[in-house]
Amino acid sequence: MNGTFEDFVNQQIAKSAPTIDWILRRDDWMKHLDGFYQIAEGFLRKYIDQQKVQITWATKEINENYIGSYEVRLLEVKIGPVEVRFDPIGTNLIGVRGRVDLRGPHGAVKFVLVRKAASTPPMISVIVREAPIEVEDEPEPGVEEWAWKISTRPPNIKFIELTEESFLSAIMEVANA
Amino acid sequence: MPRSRRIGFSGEHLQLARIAQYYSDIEASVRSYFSSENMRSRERFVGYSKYEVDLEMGSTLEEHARSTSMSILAALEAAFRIDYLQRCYKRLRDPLSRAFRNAHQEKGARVPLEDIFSMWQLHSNVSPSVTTDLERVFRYRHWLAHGRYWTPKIGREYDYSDIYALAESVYDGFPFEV
Repeated sequence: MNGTFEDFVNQQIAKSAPTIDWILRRDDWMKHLDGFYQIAEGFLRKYIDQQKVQITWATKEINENYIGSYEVRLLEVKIGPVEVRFDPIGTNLIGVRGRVDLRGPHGAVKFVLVRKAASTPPMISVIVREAPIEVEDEPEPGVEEWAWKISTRPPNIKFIELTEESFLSAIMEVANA
Repeated sequence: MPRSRRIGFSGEHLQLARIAQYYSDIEASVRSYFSSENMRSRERFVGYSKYEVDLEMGSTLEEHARSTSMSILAALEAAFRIDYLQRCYKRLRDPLSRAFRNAHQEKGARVPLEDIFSMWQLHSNVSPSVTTDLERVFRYRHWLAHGRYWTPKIGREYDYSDIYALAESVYDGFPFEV
């Protein structure tokens, strides 16, 4: 017995994807997306009330692996002649729990739903083991422990706190070079 | 099984930071080219509406992001394969290097990347979600590299910065032999 089949079985078990309740994951993401829009509207409220900024809503279909198709709201903001839009991307993403891209004529800024304490993408620290062991993913934090942040561009990606100042700066960045 | 020949390393594999710089430089150039500040834009975009110019710029940037993602994934594959070969050549005694040597005796340098990921999974503390992400992004790479003529079963398309973030954390977190 050269152990080849045993290696094969162990490798297949090790490759098993963790069980995720994808419906719950989608619903959580949509709830956070509503929360994001509430924050965005709050930051723009003064300008909306003064009729200096107009907002409109559209819908978009997202199709994600394991989840399938579903509809989300998409926020469009008009400031004078310039239009920017908040475009939800999804939840089954690498390293983040959800993402909304703010797109304008001069670029895009990414708003990401990440662990509240995270200031960078998840760090990996891999150590070679002396004996094979089964490694499990860290349990995910509860709903209340996620927060919206702004992801900087590569290299050395950082997550910046979402504040009124960082939010309005992001709009200016994509709207006006 | 015949012994496979030792691979000579070219040293030409791209560094991640260099790819990011390349991405930013080209993106800035594309935006400048499509802007009204480009002195030749009237000639290039005669008869276009602003919407059409924006659409064409978006499409150009999307292609740029895809080809840069390919470069990142090629660099990441090189990192895993160089580590695989170095662990074999250096005859390291840890369980991962031994598993690599067994694979090398059977398959030489052409061991599938998925097998390398499985051996990392089995002989290190790497979390299953990391190897799952790696397998997914390399399926995306396969789709890009082979002409995208079929509808991929990978759900949403990956974004350049998602792939960059994963690659950066792998480079920083894996104890690669170089």
